[in-house]
Amino acid sequence: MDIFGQLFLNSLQISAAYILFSLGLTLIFGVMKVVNFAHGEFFGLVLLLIAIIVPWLNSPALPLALTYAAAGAVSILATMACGWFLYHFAFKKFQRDMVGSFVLSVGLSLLMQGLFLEFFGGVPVKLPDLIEGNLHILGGAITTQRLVLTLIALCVAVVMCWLIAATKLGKALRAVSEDHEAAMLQGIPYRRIALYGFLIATFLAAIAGALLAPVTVISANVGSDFLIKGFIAIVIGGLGSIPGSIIGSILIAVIESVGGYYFDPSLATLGMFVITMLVLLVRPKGIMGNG
Amino acid sequence: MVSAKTSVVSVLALSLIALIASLFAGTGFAASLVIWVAINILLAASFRFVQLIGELNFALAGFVGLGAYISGICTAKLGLPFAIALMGAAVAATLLSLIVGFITLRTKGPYFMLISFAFTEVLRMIYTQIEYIGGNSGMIGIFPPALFTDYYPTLVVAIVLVLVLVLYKLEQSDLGKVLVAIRNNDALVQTVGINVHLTKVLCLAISSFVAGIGGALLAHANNVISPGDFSFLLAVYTLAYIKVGGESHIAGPILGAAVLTLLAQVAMGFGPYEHIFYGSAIVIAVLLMPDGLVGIIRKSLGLAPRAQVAARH
Amino acid sequence: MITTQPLLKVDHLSRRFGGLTAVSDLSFEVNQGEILGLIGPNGAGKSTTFNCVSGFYPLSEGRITFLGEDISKLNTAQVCHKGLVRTFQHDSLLSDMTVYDNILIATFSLIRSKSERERRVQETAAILNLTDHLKEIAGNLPHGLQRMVSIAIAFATRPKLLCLDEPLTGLNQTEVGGALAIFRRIRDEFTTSILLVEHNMKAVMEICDRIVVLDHGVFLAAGSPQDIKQNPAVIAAYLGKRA
Repeated sequence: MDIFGQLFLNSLQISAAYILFSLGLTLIFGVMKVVNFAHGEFFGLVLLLIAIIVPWLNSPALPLALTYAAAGAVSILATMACGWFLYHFAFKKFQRDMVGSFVLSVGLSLLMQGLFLEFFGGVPVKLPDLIEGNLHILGGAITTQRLVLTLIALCVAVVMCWLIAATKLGKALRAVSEDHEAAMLQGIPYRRIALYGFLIATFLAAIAGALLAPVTVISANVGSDFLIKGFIAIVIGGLGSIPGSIIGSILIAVIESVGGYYFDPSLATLGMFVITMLVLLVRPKGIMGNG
Repeated sequence: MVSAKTSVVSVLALSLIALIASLFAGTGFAASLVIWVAINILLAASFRFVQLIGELNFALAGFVGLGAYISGICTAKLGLPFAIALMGAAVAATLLSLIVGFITLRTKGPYFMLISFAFTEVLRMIYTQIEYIGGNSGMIGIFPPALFTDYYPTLVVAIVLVLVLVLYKLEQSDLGKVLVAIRNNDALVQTVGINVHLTKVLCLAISSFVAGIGGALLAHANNVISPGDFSFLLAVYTLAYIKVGGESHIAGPILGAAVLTLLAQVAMGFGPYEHIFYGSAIVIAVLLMPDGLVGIIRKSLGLAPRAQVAARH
Repeated sequence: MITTQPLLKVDHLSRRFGGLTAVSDLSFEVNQGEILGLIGPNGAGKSTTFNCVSGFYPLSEGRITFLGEDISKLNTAQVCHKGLVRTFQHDSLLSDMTVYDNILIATFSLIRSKSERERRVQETAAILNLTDHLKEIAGNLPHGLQRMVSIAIAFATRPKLLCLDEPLTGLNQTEVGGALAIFRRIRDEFTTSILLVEHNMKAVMEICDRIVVLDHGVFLAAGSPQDIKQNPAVIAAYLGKRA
């Protein structure tokens, strides 16, 4: 086995999920200047819903893929509805209020995790594998389903980046991100764009969850672990910067896979924190940040 | 308007009542509750002090933890007197905050929050790796001074009262004005010759001094401490006290800490709903009571709402 | 009273941002007891020059000398202690604090005694006609008075050189007149020099002892208001467009 190949594959998988996650986080920050600490709970909600629906729906009559697809679709829709709800009743009032929105989202995160724990229980769940089999490529081993899911995730990320770079909506999102007052003067409906931005971000977190459902051990607080890393990724990369969030996610993924391979996971996390501190000291606004 | 003299008298009176009441707390559950409320008040006051420069000090748990461990080492491992343990905790926390603050306060807002959070987690992980202090299982045998075993609540309340008063005085002083000015417009403050960076570091140092003592008091109250006690959640709960109580006045964190700690006891009677409780408290406070309990009291007394000085990031 | 040693000497100042050169090889002087206007079309590099002089930006090239001392590497706080203070065009005061506190903050780093600070605040407020407004919250004041507050903050440090960044923006005729009178008083009674970046041409011509004109980051001309008004290059670059 080629170590680099293996590490590359590991990093690829991990970074795909983090990229989707942090794209959403950085989008919300860019458009609404809101630091959404509860973003992880959308991810968690999807995973938990799938964890409930799949075993319930699963039967020999239904192909597993269909079960997963149905569960995924329902969960994503439910989470998007939740996102819409939270936007209208909570975050809308705290746009451009970084401190207020952060505090609110911390409260929401805590509340939601508590509710998840109540309704889901403390026992972690592992769902059945969607696709069987292993592959050996580039000198490393990876399960087929991980590879497929990773590629899908990366496709979604690419589509998202294209959307932001090329479409009218994407341009509006960027304009609002850079200077929301100038954007409004140009006739861009800020409120609506902010809502779309928030929903897109929610969707990204949701689909990251759906794609990770077959390969993750699901528990009530699965969202918060992801959130911390996602947060680190976007801060290292620069809040509000799309390329920054991608760079940050890749960096985190590499540290996690390399660290997890040579040392143990908690030491890898420690390393991540230390590197975060170092990056922020040299570039207080992140690698691509311009604040 | 409430005159300054009336305020001073009422504060002294309330403090005296609190002190006397604590003498009757005994050593049972009521005593624990009193200590708990007092320490939470102290931590909330410490967190709020850094809000004067417009930052959310999520490194709080790090300094509280350091104070707890240093004092624990002094008392349980080295057998030193309580006063030394207390001072050791305060000095250690302050020194660390000077170093960390000097580096991290170059960042602001969400960046500072993240770096502070990272710092807390790093410290926590370091504690789990050190065998001398019990690693992941923590340290035991941290007992209050023999002299005060039966009256530990009173000792705690007295210390907390003094420290909160000191923080209040500092807030009202010229230093306090400079801190608020920095929150309002730090570029401007720099142009009139004030070293904004060092002033921010000083603010954090003062807050950490208090946090360190809080940690020491906590350690001696619980008798057992472990790394898990000093996680991010500690700062989040403290934030809940402040949001519920109100940020505009130092009475806010006091009220918030007292009310939430007591309410939590009631809620806990229904089951392990800690997260839901504190989470809801924050959400409700932020959405429905932006000025907190202090704001509601002001309104009912017919006082004008205090202008909330916003930070500019 | 204009003496021979220049107060501020800008020597071959250049400032680059990435690929863009905002200011190139700029040299000029501010003498003691004079009001110098720094003008030029938008994008001429006035703000950049201002920020370099006052310690906000580092210099890419060149040197800033203040009373014979090289201040090129000093930050804003240090520059203040040398006697050079600036105002801001936007975000120029502590909007949630009282006017009194706004001015008081400026006295902390330079005055030790409480009573002297009090005196400085009252004196400064009097000069800027703010005495009646000391107890009000600065952010609630009308725009004209807010401008006066930001000047008061800077002037409370009794600098030798007061750098004003577009102080007259948004002021009406009467307010401009009042401001100019205050500038004259500051120059004459306190021997404080003023470096003024302004777009209000009429006011600049009226109040400045000398004017330096920038265009596209380079020095265009310098001289008395009369000279500048008649300088063909200046007229072409700037005044002609805004006749």
